Amino acid sequence: MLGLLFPAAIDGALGILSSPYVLFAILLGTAVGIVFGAIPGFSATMTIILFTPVTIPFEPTVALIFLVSAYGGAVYGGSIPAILINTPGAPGSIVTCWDGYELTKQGRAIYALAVSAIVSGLAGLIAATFLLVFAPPISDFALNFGNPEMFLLAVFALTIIPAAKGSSLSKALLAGAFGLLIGTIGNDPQLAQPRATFGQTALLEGVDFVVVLIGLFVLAEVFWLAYRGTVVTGDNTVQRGASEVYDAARAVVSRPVGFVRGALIGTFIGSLPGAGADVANFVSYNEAKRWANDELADRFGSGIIEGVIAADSSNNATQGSALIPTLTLGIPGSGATAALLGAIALHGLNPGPGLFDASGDIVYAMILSLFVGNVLILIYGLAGSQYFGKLAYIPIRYIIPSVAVLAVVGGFAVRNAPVDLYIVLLFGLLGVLFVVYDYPLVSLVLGVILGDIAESGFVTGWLLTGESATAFLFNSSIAVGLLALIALSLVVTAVKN
Amino acid sequence: MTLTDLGRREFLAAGVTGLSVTAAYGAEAFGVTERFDDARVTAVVPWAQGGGTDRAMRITTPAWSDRLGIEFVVENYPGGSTQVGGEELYNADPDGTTVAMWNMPQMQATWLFQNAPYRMESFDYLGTHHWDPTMWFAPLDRPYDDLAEFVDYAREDGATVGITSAIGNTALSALLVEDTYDLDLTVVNMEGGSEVRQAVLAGDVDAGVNQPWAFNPDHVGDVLALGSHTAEPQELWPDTPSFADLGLEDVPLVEEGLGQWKLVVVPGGLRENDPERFERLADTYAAALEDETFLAEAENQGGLDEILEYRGPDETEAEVEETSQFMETYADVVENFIYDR
Amino acid sequence: MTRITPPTVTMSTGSRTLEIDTGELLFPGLVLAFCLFYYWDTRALPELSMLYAGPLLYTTIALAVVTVAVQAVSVGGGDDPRGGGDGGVESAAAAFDPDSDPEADEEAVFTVRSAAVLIVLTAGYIVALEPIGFLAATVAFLAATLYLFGERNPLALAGYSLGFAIGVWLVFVQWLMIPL
Repeated sequence: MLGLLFPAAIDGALGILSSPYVLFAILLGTAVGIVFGAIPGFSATMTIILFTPVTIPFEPTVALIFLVSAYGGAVYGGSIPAILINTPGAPGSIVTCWDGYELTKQGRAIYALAVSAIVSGLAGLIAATFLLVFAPPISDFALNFGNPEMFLLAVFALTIIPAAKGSSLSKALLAGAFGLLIGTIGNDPQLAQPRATFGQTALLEGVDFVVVLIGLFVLAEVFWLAYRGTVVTGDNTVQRGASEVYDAARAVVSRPVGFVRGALIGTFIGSLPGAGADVANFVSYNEAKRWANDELADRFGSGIIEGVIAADSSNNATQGSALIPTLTLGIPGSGATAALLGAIALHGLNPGPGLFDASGDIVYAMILSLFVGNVLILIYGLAGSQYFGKLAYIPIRYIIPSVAVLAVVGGFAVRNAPVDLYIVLLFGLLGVLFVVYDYPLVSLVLGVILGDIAESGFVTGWLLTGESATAFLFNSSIAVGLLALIALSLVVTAVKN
Repeated sequence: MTLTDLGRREFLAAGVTGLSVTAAYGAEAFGVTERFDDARVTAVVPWAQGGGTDRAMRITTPAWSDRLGIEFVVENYPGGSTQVGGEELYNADPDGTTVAMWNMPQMQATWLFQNAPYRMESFDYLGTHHWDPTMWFAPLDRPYDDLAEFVDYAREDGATVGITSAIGNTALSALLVEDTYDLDLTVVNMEGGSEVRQAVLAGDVDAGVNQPWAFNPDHVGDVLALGSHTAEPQELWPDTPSFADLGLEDVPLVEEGLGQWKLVVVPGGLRENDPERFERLADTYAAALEDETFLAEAENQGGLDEILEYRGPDETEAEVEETSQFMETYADVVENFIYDR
Repeated sequence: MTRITPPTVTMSTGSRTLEIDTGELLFPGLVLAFCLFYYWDTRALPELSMLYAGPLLYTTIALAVVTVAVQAVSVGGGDDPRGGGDGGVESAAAAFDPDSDPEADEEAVFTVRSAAVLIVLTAGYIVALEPIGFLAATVAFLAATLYLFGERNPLALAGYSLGFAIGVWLVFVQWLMIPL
């Protein structure tokens, strides 16, 4: 049936997926993702970023499928320390702590972990289905985008972040504009004259956004860990045995509404630029509470399984849907998808509206690998969460220096340029500043990522439309639609502020 | 735990760590940690993975490596219109472990119109790889069928022309045509061969300047081939008139032919200091271009085998010299474009 | 002391007071400084090179000024100039507040001071990489950081530092051929 819907590329994708290397990449990637996600302080974003340089020698298909699998695994893995030691492995699992850790205190850690694995895997499957169904028509539509439309799309992506995140309008726009400006460092696209390169040859090419990501999402996080630490309140007695897993399966099956609601909320929120697992699990938890009767609503936070279901069904569902704008438009909605986009570019594919057209088989293989990956999350999670759980107890004092070293090495490995190490450090410090003063990190990253698209869209569009503002802005009905969306998101945010 | 106990432990810790740091430093200082197999040749590509230069290099190195008996590692240093990779090569030791595949006249543009620290003499030249002529393309629905008609059309209304890079053969061709016939063209750098193809297919530009191999001969029939910047018709794209056929001999460089060379360059000084190694590299490279698997691979790459054009070290150097000269001759055309807008 | 808060400067002229939250000036100030450099560096470039970057530069400057006006400066006083409070969920750090009690009985290794020392150590590590080499710099950095965060067992210190450094070196230098 799939073959009828999407004839050409799917065949190629299935061919890719049937390669033993690729299957191994999914198996290994999912496991690696869960392992690193389970380490406190390691988010899905960090896992993808730090493994990207390691994938350089591999074929793009193997490398990208490995990273996509690791992404899914890490989102699930983040819930393990949340449940066991009340420390979310990533921001997307903060809410998982609230009921999950209470269950651990009652001795029911295995039960909570099993529920988490089941809902994560199933919600991931639901979101992957959405991705498979919606991405192709959106990417077809995106092929109609000309140069002015690409510029407006970049502007829209930056203006919708504060609307989706509820952050300050001026801060989000400043961060985004600064990111765009960072994106113009290097030779200009028309005449190849150097702009703000500080005399560094490596910067003629511009600031590589993977390097920026490493600074903002890895090194800054390490600096934060050094200040914040984690609270490991060790040994709780744990009930073991198959009955806990059986109970878990029953708990999910008897609460289909809660699970599907969480998955749909996650899918929807994940598809918005700027909002990912971190927002989805809060919204899903609040909705679960709102839908519950008074008696049940009061017990949220006291260790009820509804809380775990609400949190973990939503955070894993964001993965599939966050890939929709990332793969179809080249606009990543979150740190993790930005990191994946970096990997896509690093492996010689051209992210953006043409991606499905040019590399359809690889893209479909990535999408289809999500189905395998999420089944694996279920299997790994049910069979091995108590073993993965041991990782949650790795002392943070070992994590801090190790990740710092990996950030530095990874920053260098991107393009072998010593100046990139200083850029990593600089953005590490900037990341801390952003968190302290509540600037959206995603705006800055997205600005840097979209810099090239925005600039060539603007310059090429401007020159080809005869250098007239009206011809540029009203180039097509798509452009007018984008203008309206930009205005709408600005107004919404201004009113919210 | 007593205070002295703690003190001793810390002392021990400092001692052991100090020893490991010293050991690590010593190991590196004495070269123990050199890459186990330092007998590798680094092949610098000043473009991103997947581009024409990258593909050409990657299909050449296996055959070359077979003959040389040393492994190649292709490293991409994209950016700065090839200046980033150029400086990488410039800073490498001339010991025969670094080679690069570069393209002309892009190469000359980095020191003529950008701020690159090196010059033609900074390098030695192993040989050329292939030559792809400059060619003009247009969307099918336009009221002109060749470049002569395009010139008449543009004289009336002006026209938009897409080029592949800031200052290279495509830019030069566009600027020379504009200059010769006193046209008012809007020359837009689309930043790459596939982008020019895209813009022509979508009808975003009135004409696009590219090379036939870079444009991809799979698209014969989807676009109109206006003409090639040569005296004789080229072979890759069927039924395309040359500038000479069209009577456009007033445009400079038609006789010589304006196109894009790919060539293999090594850091300067190798030929003089280690002539043996230089000869060995040059000979094995020449042999690699005759290799059958290489030729089959080249044929798979959109008919690259048809435009392969090997010249030895001396001829290549002469070609580089000649290209440098004509780039300098037409420097004012380029500079007018850059600064007088 | 676990948190450093930049001071709020209050100025009053007559009946009006003007409060400036200096912390909120940090990022807009940095942006403005960068814009100044950018302007200085690109002032001689041809028009076509700055067709997009020029207007973007002025937009960024304007946004920085607006952000200062909106976020850092408040007239009249009273209200907390920092809008939104701790609502950010960007980082686990921002939203996840561990209970304050258990923090007290930990030996207070996770503080602003240790974060600052870590930043200095990281900077030193990056500077040292080229002159003293990857392995030595990495072992020293790992050992110093482990010590900073409370590892006192000499064997663990040396063993982990050396082991991890060699592991990374094997993967990146030997296998991935990164010329570190």
